[in-house]
Amino acid sequence: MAATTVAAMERASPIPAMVSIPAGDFTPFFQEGPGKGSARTINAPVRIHAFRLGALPVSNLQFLDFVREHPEWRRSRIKPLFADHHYLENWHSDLALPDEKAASEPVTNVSWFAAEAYCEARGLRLPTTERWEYALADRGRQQREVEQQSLDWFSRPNPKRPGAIGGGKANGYGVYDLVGLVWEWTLDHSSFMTGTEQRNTSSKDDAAFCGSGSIGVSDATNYPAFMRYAMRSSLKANYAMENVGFRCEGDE
Amino acid sequence: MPVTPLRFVPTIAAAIIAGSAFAASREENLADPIVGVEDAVLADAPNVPLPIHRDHATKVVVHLEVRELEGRLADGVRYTFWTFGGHVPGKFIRIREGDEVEMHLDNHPDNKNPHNIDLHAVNGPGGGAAASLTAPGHSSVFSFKALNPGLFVYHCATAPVAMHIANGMYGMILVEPKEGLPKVDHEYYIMQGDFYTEGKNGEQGLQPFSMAKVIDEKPEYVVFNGSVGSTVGDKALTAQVGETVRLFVGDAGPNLVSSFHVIGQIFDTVWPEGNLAAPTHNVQTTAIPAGGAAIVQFQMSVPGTFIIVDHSLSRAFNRGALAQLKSSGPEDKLLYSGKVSDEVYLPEGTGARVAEQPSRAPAAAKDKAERIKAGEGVFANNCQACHQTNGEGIANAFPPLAKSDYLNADKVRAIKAVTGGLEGKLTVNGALFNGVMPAWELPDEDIANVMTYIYNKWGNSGLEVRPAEVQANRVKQN
Repeated sequence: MAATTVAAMERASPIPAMVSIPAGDFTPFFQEGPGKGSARTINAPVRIHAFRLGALPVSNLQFLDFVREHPEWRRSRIKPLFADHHYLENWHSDLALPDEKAASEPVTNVSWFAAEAYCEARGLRLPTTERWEYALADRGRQQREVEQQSLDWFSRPNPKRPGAIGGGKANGYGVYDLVGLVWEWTLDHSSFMTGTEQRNTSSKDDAAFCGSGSIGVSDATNYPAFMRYAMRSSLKANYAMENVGFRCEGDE
Repeated sequence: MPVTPLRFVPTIAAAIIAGSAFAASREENLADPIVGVEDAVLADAPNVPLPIHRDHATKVVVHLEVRELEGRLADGVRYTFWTFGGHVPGKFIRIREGDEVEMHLDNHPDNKNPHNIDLHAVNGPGGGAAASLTAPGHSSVFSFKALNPGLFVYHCATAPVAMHIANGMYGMILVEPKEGLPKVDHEYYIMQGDFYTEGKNGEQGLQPFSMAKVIDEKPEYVVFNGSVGSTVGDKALTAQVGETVRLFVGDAGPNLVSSFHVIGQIFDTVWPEGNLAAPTHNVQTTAIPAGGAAIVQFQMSVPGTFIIVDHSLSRAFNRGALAQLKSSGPEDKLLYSGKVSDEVYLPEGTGARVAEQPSRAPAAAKDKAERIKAGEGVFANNCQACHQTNGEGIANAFPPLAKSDYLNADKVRAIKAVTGGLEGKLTVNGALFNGVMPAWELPDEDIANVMTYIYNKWGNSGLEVRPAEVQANRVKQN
């Protein structure tokens, strides 16, 4: 399927659907663990292998193509287990976007299950949190700007509509809209800080609140990172939310 | 009715007696059976829900709706607040010891961020935070039994917690002892918080949150009840002479400890740290830790305006930590003569004040109307604390600007007074003042605007002051 978007098509040189992210070493903000059985040292760099990442978040138009091909993911047919009642609620109907503008806006109100199904249907998958964060870290390029952009974004109440994708500037890898448009699903969004089920059975559970949140992070002064991890932790896989979208990753 | 010092005695005695009887044990409260269910009556500051007269424990259902919304932090200064219930501080919750609280945290779907709640009245992991991390558009529910009476802070505890608190996510919950609290005439709710904006204090427009300043613990604003001037002028707290006032005071921080003080009023009774078991008496200033609370109580002795401050005074005079309590009623010349001949206390002395100066040069006003409008903000940020919102000043301390013969007689002299300061005896509208007015190091434009504002308010002559006139007549500071 042609993964170009309306916004991209309007450009002289279209944004590629996927961009290559080269291998590198990276110290994640949180690392998996220190849960039971984890042998990994906290705050040690990890090796990230080369991968491909969606240059843009998935648009409503792209998701519309997907539900045309896969009727079981249409709003009226989705199994309640896979998405709550907010699933695609901003759409006009099963196969109709609210308006033309929506075509180039990121798809939101999609659950983790639906997002992952979309990526799998394209031979891809949701990015892991580590790889998503690695792409954002961008080898340290423009970090001050990205941080400020994030803080400014948190400080603005949600607009009625998220705005068009690809409107801003690409980072050093050619990736757009990692911050400032919508939150994004990751494959393992619930593996960090508090578990999604809130059962208090592991030491991870303490990390989401108050001072203990700063234990075990690589940089406690990085508030935007806390915000991203806290947001991911608050999600359950069936949530369909007006400010959460996604993009896909694939092998290099 | 004559007011005598003896009147304080019964109040204190009652408090001491009641204090010794306060509170059941935690075991008793845990065993106290729950009878019935009711919806909590919540209140926005400075109001407090009415006392509880139940003689049994019940289940209290509390709904707190988290809203992220833009609001006023100071005149001309906007900020995106994160709130429990739409205002800063959040709703005041009042329950009785032994009650079971069913807490619903409702995160509005328009919000951008996940939130939770940590109530210091809870015995449990995270004070409830572990059970209440809530994504936008979702609700979390948990319940707890209130075992310890007292006044407790609650706040959002989602990482990064300092940011959530610095954006306004806090409030208080009062767990009343079974016996209730001694009856008073007025109960009010005041909560201090520090705010960290990218722009300097007074810089206009929508101000983003500054991560660097919160980490350095250097706030631009320290305020009571969520904004500069939240509780002054016609929004001041009120009481009559002879009435007893109780303040439930919290300090949210996230960083600063409050030196809570009411200028001209001794606290007859303080329950330090909100601990109802150990009241203390005759207190001038009580320290309230960040994430802590105190209950203070006093009887109004004389009429007047009483200024509520954090006695770390730069915060009061330069960053906004100032509220007012106005009492009305008969004078008592024995208790307080009202005749002032000593110096007015101003911590800055006669030194020049650079306070509230925006880092950017203010935009030039195009006409007199714009000048008056811009001047209103300058007035609120710099002049109002002493000269008052209505320009009447404070008798014997700060001269009136309203219908001021001093101002209206000589514009150039007035410019020199504002830019160079004043000290010593001064007669305004027939009343003698003997105080200090600091010199204001503000841009010509700001001085022109604020003076034009003053000249066009409160029955003054209506003339305009232009920046060029300020420049020509300015008293130069070193």
